[in-house]
Amino acid sequence: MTKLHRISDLDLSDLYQKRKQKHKAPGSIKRAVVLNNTQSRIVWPSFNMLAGVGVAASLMLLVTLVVVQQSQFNLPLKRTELTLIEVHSLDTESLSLAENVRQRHAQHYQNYLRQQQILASHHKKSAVLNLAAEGWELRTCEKELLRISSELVAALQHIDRVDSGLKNGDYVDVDFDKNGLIVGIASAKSLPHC
Amino acid sequence: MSFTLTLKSFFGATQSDELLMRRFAESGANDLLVKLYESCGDDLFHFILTQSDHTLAKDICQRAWLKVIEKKHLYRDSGNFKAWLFTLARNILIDEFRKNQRPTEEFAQLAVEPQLHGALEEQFDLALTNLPFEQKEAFCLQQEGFGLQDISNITHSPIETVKSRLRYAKQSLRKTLENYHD
Repeated sequence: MTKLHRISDLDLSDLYQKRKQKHKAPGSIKRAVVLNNTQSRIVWPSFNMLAGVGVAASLMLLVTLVVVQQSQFNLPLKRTELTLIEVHSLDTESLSLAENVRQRHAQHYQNYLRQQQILASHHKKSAVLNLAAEGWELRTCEKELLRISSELVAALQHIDRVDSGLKNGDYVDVDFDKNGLIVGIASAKSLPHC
Repeated sequence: MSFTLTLKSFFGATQSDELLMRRFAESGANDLLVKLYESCGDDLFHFILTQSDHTLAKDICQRAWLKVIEKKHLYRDSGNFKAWLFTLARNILIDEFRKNQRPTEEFAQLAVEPQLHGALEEQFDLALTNLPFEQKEAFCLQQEGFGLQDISNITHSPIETVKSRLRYAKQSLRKTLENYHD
């Protein structure tokens, strides 16, 4: 059995090799493979040359781009400066025309408002003083009658905001603050023209 | 003595193939490719033919050799060239089977039942063709001089599985040939 087994193993190898001898690879495979290798070798040098040219061109383009970008990198500051100057000059020219008139009008209007505020806060009214038992009465040119309590008169006198020596029938100037409150009563410096 | 000579010639051929391949990878020279083809071309064709048919084997072998040309820069010095070539070819064959959804057993099933008369070579031919795909490829690879580790690497199978496939393949072949002798 052992002998049979050994022989069988050798036989198998022998039979396999004999079978292989009967089935050789067709020559067409070899021809196709060699032809392909030949073509790839022909293609390679031209490809290498093309690749070299391509790389050189790319490098040149890259260098050009870098140089151009660098030169442009220095320019923007100058350009920005120039642009700013142009904007200033345009702004001045526009002010000399309609803008100038508008600004002057706005300035005058502001002055008017400020003066009106000053007037409102420090305006005065001329009136005739009438001393009464319960306080003072002031009759203005607009035919308004202002009654001032004794306490207010005393308070004003206390802070020295009422002229001393005022008597019944005197013409007085009444000072108002911006809220319309009486803050002082003094003898009129000129006669009212009611 | 004979075994020693066979072993020496095997290692000599392997080193030579590797050297040729290394030089071919550097130069791409046609004569080196021809030498490589002459060294392994018939072996590869027979191996693939045993797993498929003549037309497919021709196509697969051609594609495998073209891949050698195309991927020559990927060849590693430490590798056995013949094992690398067979791995490339086997992978292409398996891809082809998967692409066409053809089971690996198809070619075995098409084979004719062994007859009790005729030459011993014919009986062996039929018995080998009738083997299951995995057993057939393991047996063929061993006959091509590959060790268990190489067969394991080429077929992407564990060594124990390879051993088992070889045992079954030989048993089956032996049984057929014993019947013929009887």
